[in-house]
Amino acid sequence: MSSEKTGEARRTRILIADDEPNIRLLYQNELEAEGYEVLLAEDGKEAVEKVRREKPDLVVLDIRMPGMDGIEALGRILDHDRTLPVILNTAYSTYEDDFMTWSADAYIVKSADVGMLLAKIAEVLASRRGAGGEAPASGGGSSAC
Amino acid sequence: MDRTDVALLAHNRDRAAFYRHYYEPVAANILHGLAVVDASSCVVLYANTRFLASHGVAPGAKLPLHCSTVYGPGGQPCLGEEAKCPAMRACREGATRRHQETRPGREQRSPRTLEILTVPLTTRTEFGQGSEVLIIEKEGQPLLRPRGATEEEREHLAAIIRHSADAIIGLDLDHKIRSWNQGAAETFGYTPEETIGRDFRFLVPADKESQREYETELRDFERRDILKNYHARRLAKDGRTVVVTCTRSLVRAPDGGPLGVSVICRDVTMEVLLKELIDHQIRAMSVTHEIGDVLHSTRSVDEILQVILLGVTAGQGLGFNRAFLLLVENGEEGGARRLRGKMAIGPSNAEEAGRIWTSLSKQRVNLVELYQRYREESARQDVLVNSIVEQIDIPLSREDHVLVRALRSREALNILQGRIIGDDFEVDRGLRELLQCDSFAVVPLNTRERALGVLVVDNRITGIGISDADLQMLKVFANHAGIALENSQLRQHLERRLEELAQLNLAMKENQAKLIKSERLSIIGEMAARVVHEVRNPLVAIGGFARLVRRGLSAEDPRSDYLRIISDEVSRLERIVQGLLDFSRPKTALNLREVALNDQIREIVAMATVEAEAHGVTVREAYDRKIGNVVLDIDKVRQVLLNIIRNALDVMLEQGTLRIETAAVPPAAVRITIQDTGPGIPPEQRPKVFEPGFTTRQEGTGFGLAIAKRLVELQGGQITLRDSGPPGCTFDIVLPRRAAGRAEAEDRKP
Repeated sequence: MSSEKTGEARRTRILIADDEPNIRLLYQNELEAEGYEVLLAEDGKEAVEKVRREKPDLVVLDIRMPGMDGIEALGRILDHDRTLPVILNTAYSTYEDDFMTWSADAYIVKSADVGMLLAKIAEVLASRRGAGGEAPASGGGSSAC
Repeated sequence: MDRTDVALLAHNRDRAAFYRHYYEPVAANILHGLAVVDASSCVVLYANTRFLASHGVAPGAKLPLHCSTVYGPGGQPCLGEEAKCPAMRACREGATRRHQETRPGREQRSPRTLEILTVPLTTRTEFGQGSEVLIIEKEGQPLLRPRGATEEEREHLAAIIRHSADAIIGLDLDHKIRSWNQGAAETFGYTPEETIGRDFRFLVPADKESQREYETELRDFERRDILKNYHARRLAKDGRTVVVTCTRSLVRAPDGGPLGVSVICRDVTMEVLLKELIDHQIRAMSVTHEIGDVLHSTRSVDEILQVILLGVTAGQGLGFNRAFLLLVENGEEGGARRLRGKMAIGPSNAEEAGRIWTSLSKQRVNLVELYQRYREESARQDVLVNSIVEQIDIPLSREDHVLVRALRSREALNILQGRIIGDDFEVDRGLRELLQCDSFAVVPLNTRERALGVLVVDNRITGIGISDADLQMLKVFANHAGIALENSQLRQHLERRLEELAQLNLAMKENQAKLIKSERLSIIGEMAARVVHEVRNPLVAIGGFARLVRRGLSAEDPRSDYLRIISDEVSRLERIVQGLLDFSRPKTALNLREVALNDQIREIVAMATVEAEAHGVTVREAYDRKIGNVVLDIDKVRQVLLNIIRNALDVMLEQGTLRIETAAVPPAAVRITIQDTGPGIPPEQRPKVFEPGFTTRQEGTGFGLAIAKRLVELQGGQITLRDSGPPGCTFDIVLPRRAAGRAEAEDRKP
């Protein structure tokens, strides 16, 4: 699978925002193994900055984070770029009913099975590409391609 | 004296002794002169002392005496001439004669008038068939002697009469007017030239009652020569009826003969009217007091209206023939305010009136009893008057209309022959034709602040005019009625408010109970969620890395199996904590119920109305009756509506209007429309209104409409912003008549 990503002009860049270093490390490993370029942020504030600076193609946001939480970060990210896909990835399933989360593209409850997250990332990217022109022009897709 | 004379004298001496024996004991002491005369022989057989003194004969004179000795100045005999002798005439006619004589006073005293009765004594005595008469002389009061009055005195008397404020009218014996003083001219408006020589009767009004009274007056006057201080109605030149107190007396000539009649009248019209007015007021007070009793024991507006009409028409009340009641109402759909006929009481025609009035006057009940009876006999509908009143519907903008005019001016108006009295205003012909009556009164029903309506009364059946006193009484009555109506409306308003408050209170208690329960649950949930969160992150790290490491190992490596066990056990733990979460967190599920949508929305709007009134916003509602029952989650609909209404109230200024409307949308949907008069939403923001975070208000969370959209869509409905103003927004919520609980939308972003 990772071989598919090589040779692309620019790999699909995914920003992971999570306050737990172990989780960040795990996701980084898994996503890089999938051939994505991975950016990391420890809290909402850093996530917003990195979105501005490094223009990821997709953001995976934890909700409960110290300082700026994921929901506030979501608002700011969408303010900056309404087309940027965001997946909320949280230990809390309660936020799913929180309308504040509705503007995210997907809401996943954290699980030790990272496969669900990977599948959702691939799905969101594919649907964006399918919707036409909104995904990054040179974006390296996941297995959906 | 010849022998015959002597014999005669002897004979008469015996008779004289006889009469003296009989009469003296009585006659000596009476105040009148009394004598017995033998008319055939002109002999006075008996005379008492007073009689003799009156004729200037010494008291000691011996009887019998010849007439000539007693009668006539200087003892001149009548010479037996019957024409001159009343005694002879009385004897011959066999009847009592009565005449008056004036005799010169003795010793410089005034002349005296004597009333003289000559009574024939028809009884036989032992002296044979008598020609005796009994003469009684009653001495009257000394008369004024005009003849003797000086010119100056006469002029003085004439001046008194001429200038008297009382009418002093001289009549001859045929009732023809002979004199007419200044007081008479002022009282009746006629000059002496216009009256002298006419029969007094021309002053008597032509109506039967007055004529009959006049006949009685004349008859009484013939029996007694004076009638004092009686009331009579007389007709003045300008057509007014003048009420006078009269004294009518016979005027006699100095010789006592009737000369004419004097009539003295004093105009007491004002006094009589005032008395009538006071009587009216007293009656009005007791009537209105009685009506007030009924009114205050009456609770509903309809009953009060009935009492008002009954009070105005019942004989025990104000006694008008017919009464019509009109109230101010708001037009349909918030249209112009109008005066609309409500109720009426009154007979259709004279026969019906006769029947009702006869039966009522037989019953002699008071107003309270009458009202009870009226309520029991609901069959009595007064069809004609009610069909008339129902046709009256006048917009208040028609200020030229007499009814609106009375309402606006708060004045009672008396309309006579189609014109307002004291004003030349001609009343709308349509109204007169509808009432079939040109004369009626209109009196407004007011409270202190508001004009409630008007009362129209008439006497169409009896045709009796409506007096100022009637109008006064009607006004007093209308005041009472207005207060009673206001009280009733206030009471109803209060009762309604209390009911609302009680319901709100109940709802709040229920909500509070729910809240406490859900709070308790949510604390448990909160704790569980925290634990789950705290546990889940390490689990993700443990399980995730176990999987990661395991992928790097060959399938044969036994460690691979151990790592699988770790990740499987982690998965089990994750399921357990998820289960814990699911238990503590209630699901957002639809609670579908069949409800009467209009009623439910009415309740929801009632909740919001309190808030709206605090904002100075008017709430208008319109419900489509075709909607009926629908199946939906009314709690969620309530949340949606309250959200939109609160938004609207927040953006509207004072004097705003909030419209809520329902409509059936065939074949299987309903629409709820909410419209405000706020500033609206700029066109460029319009597509974003249902997005989370959209708000035009500083303190807004910006999620209200997003939630609303989700809750509506959850029930298979749609919410749209039909119009974003300015001014104002119009939201349409369309819901299926039978909401099917739809699974939550998977795709979240359009």
